[in-house]
Amino acid sequence: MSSHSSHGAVDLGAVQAPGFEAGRKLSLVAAVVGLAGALGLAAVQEGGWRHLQFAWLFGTMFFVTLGFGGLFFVLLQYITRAGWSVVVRRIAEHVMSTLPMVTLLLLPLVILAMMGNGDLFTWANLDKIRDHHPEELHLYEHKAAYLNGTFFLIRFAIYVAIWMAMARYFKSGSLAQDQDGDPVRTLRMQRVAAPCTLLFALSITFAAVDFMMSLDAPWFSTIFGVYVFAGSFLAFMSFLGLMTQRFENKGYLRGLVTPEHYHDIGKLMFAFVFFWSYIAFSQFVLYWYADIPEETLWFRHRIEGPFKDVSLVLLFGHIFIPFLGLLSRHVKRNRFGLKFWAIWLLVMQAVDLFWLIMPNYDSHHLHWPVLELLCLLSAGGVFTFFFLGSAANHALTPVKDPRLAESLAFENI
Amino acid sequence: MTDTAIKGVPAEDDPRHRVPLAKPGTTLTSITDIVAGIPERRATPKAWYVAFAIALTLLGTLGAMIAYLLFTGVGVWGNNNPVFWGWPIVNFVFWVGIGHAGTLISAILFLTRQNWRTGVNRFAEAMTIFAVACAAIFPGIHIGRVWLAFYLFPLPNQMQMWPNFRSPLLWDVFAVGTYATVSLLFWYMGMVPDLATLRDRSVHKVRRFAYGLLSLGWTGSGREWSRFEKAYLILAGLATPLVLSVHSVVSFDFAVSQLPGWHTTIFPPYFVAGAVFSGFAMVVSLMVPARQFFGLKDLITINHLEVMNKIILVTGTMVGYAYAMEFFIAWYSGNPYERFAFVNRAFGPYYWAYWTMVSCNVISPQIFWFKKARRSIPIMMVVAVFVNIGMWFERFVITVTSLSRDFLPSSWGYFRPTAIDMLTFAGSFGLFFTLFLLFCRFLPMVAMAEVRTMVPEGKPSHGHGHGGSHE
Amino acid sequence: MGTVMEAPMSNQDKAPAGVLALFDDVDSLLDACRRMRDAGYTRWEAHAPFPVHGLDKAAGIKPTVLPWIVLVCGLTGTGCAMLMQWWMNAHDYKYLISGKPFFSVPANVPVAFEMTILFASFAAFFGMLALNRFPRWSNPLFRMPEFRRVTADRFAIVVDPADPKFHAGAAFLGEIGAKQVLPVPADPSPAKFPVWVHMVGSLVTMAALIPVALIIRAHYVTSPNPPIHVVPDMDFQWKDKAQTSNPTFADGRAMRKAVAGTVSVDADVDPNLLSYQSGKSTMVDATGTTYRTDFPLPVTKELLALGEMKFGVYCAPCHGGSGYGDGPVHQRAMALETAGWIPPVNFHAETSLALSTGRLYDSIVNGVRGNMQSYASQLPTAEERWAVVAFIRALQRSQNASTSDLPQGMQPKEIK
Repeated sequence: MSSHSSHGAVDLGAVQAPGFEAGRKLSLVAAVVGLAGALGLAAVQEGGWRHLQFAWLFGTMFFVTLGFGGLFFVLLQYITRAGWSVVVRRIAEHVMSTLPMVTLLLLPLVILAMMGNGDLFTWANLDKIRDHHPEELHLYEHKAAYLNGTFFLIRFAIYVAIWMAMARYFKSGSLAQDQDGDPVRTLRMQRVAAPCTLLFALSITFAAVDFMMSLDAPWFSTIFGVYVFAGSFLAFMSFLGLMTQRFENKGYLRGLVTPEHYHDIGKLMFAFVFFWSYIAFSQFVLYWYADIPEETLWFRHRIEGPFKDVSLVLLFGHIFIPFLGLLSRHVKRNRFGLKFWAIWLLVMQAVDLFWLIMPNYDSHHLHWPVLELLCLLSAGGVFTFFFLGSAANHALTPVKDPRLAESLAFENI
Repeated sequence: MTDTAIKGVPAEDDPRHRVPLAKPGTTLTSITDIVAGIPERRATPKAWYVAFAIALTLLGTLGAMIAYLLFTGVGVWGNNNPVFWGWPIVNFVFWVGIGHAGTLISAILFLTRQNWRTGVNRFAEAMTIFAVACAAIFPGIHIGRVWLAFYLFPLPNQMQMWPNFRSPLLWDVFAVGTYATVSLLFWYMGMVPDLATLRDRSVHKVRRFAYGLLSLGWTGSGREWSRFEKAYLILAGLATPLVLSVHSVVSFDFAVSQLPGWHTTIFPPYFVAGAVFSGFAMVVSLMVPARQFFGLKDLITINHLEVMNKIILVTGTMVGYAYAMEFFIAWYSGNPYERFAFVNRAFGPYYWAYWTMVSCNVISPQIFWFKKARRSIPIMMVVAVFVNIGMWFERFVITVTSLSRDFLPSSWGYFRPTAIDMLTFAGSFGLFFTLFLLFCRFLPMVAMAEVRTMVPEGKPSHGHGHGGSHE
Repeated sequence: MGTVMEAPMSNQDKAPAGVLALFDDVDSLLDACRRMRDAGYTRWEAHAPFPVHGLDKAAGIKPTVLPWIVLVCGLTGTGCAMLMQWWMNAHDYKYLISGKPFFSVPANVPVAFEMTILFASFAAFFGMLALNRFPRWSNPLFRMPEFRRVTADRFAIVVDPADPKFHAGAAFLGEIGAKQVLPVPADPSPAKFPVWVHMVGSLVTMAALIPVALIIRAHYVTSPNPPIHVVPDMDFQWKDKAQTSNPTFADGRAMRKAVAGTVSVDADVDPNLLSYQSGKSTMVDATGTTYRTDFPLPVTKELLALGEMKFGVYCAPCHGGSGYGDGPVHQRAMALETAGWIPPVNFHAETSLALSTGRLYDSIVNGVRGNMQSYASQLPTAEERWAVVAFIRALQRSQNASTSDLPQGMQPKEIK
């Protein structure tokens, strides 16, 4: 696939994004309405403030994990010097650039933990543990060296700083290349991407431990970071497929994105459906088989009682059904097919996060997740605001990337 | 766009082009001549005979050790209370791990369109099969009464018993069995067009008969290629999850138990990363002399080796991540046994094995952050050998430290291998190299059909201008 | 057998097996393919030494059905694996291993997964062979020296005589850029296998069936001969059985007497402590056995504490902490509705209260026929056994106390 199509072939009119003013306004409205609704509901509901904290974590984590996926996608393309993905890489760059902002939505929860509020992070209030679960106190005291408010805040700051630095570096490099088309930028970013990936792996692992695993502080699993990563990347690929189609429907990227690119996005979705299943099964079967009470308790909350239904939804909806659904190449190359499975898998990512987070709130009851959805709406508004803000007034594809021609001409076998 | 080179950047790194993988000037004819020329050589080189004699000696040692074991009993090994899983399982996991690079190269890198794989995949696949064969020996002889090995399989037997499907050891039988079978099919199927080339070039009747028999009547017609490519794609798609599953199932042997240091959820992906890591190291350490010796430098260039070294760096770092996570969670879990198991690994009686493992696996590949090191033959040979040593020690550390000191201090012990243990392991290299040398001598070492598609002659120019085409 | 025997080409009279056109490069091949396709040729093949990108389209080759075959076989593999695991472990040969269910999906996933892959891979490989009609060792093309480079660095188109436009093929191929056009000579080898091949084949098949037949026969026929021990394992061991002779020893006895001066483990134990049938006071129970009813040693607080500890370790699992015969083992048996389960003795039943101390000691040392094993090895000293007996007595007293058992001055006063 050498050079038979030059950069001049890219119609700049088809890639230049507008200011998205209406969309950004609408997303701000959604954020405010969601937040107001959630606050209102929490105020009238009994124990609502505690519920709100869980719901807020759930809503925000959905978009944080999308950001993880976007950041990793960009890093991966540079590390592997990928050619096919250049056309859609800019969308990933915009998703990535929302990550620090959306993560900041978790700040109130971090501050609450610092102030010793043990509603969400039970480890934040050892007195409560002493009163209600004295048998677990020694574990909490042991972990207090890591799980304590101050260190939590420091880690939070580190995560935000790392993600912000990485997102800014790669986005600004890519945007600058739009102007000067300097291939040396690509080389430099390729070099930086490798150590960044290491940093990324460590930061999301510990972020996953902090924000989701530590909700059930006595429980532990070494694979947890990989589990969250697998779900994040799957959700991001689905979002990428969906967003690319959306831009195309709006008249952008026409003639640049071909079924070949959707096919590849679909393949990565399929691969990560399998990878997620593999990681989820590994985590489950090792604990199920050894049957040690302190390890199985976490799963008991999720496979006994009302959350059993959620587990079954994940088993079929996150593993078997999409696996069979995405098997065929025709589905991946079909616009409706890809869109359907992208939406399906995004819903499943939400269900997965719900399954991870909400049993810690109350594993004995399952309600209609109204508060959760309001929080999701609010966080989604913030995400969309920054996503569109990042995309506004820039080209929707890296127009002078040295590998753009390769991406445009690329064909699957 | 001007094509002037960027200052200080070698051509293969220029993001504006993909440089051809083979050396410039390589043609369809030269590929065939180079690769098919090796098995066609009339006189076998002397060095080959020397290597083969050494390999056969080691193979004989393996045979003698197994015979001694069978006539005497497993007491000839160092396996004893409390370490009943000694070197045999360490060697088994080591060899199975080596056997992961081949399928990874032929399947996963095929699916991710890493074209450089075409130069090395045949070689790596062959290595995979021989490594799995070596691996299969160890559980086979470890069962004590080898003549009852058929109990491993769900075969009707005189006791009217069936195996226990809830045991991870039985899963292993299925996983390794399936892996060996599928790898063999994959390797053989990919070789059929090349065997047809050898058939059509051979002058000698016996050779023509043998290669004719093996190539199944391949003519290279469009329909044959179409079905072949589909089957290859499907096998690649099947082998990808398979390659993940095999070492995961091997890790289940350890991880479903309750033993501290074994029972941890990251084991499956961690074992897979480690397996790929050791497999690539083995490919590099065999590839470097082989390309030198058989004159394959035009087809397997330093660029190929550099990419493999990058993969060694990536997987080595993944393994380092898993070591770190294990330590962190061992502390975080608050489980005193788990914590002890890890402190014991690093500072207990096997500290020497642990630090050998860490320095070989995690520290030594870090030199590949530097491009110069990635392209230096001596450095990559040293690192590849280090990695192989380190990965063997990783399995040793996992198996022996956890078993030798578990819950009851009164039952602690210290494992010592016997000379028989060591000679058996050394002998398994004899089997590996015997098969490998035979492969190098008689079969096409590089996938000619695939490499042909990588040279300019093998790429159809997009013939939109030609008359009569209306796609 | 084109590959095998280079038979002389003496078949000029037979009709040709096709026409072969050679091309030098891939672009002219693709171009020729498009023109063949557009000219309406239907029975022809393009040959290349590597998979040519775009050849399927140019030659009008339809996608293969292979993926569907693989899918069906893969799912068959999953089904077979699940069925096999269920049938073998949960139906035909049930046995409990570390409390795992007989059939449990998580534990059966790995094997099911591997079998899926195995079946699907076989389908992909053998499906490809079958669709390509492989193996096909005899092919007229293999006789043509010109064809040999087509698996290395040349390209070819071969038109089948069955093509309706075959007669015009040679000329057309020349027009569309073929470097060389040649007739493919027909295959001179006979269409049928020689008779001797059939003969040898049948003989080998029959010979191969003999061992199978012998095995089947052995399954149904009984024999007075001892079984053949291919591998003796530990069937025949060098050891002396009881009451046999061994010429090694002067007295010819295989069983040796104790070495002079050997001291029995019970040697210096007070015989009174070990005796449970005679003591200061005895009784004859319903079975007519005499048992002592006293204790051979002073019952102290320390003895009772020892008894409590040992009772908790060895007796409570069945008899229950309070001796009501309701220990966790019993409860588990009840929950599982174990057939033939005999409940442990309740020490507070009337019959139990009547048991003598000697009888309790007897049960500990010798077990109770059919219900309880001997605990002699768990409670190796007489003190420990008597301590348990004493503790059982204390338990019985505690659960069946009357007001008169209370110490002097603590009896409740009668309410008037």
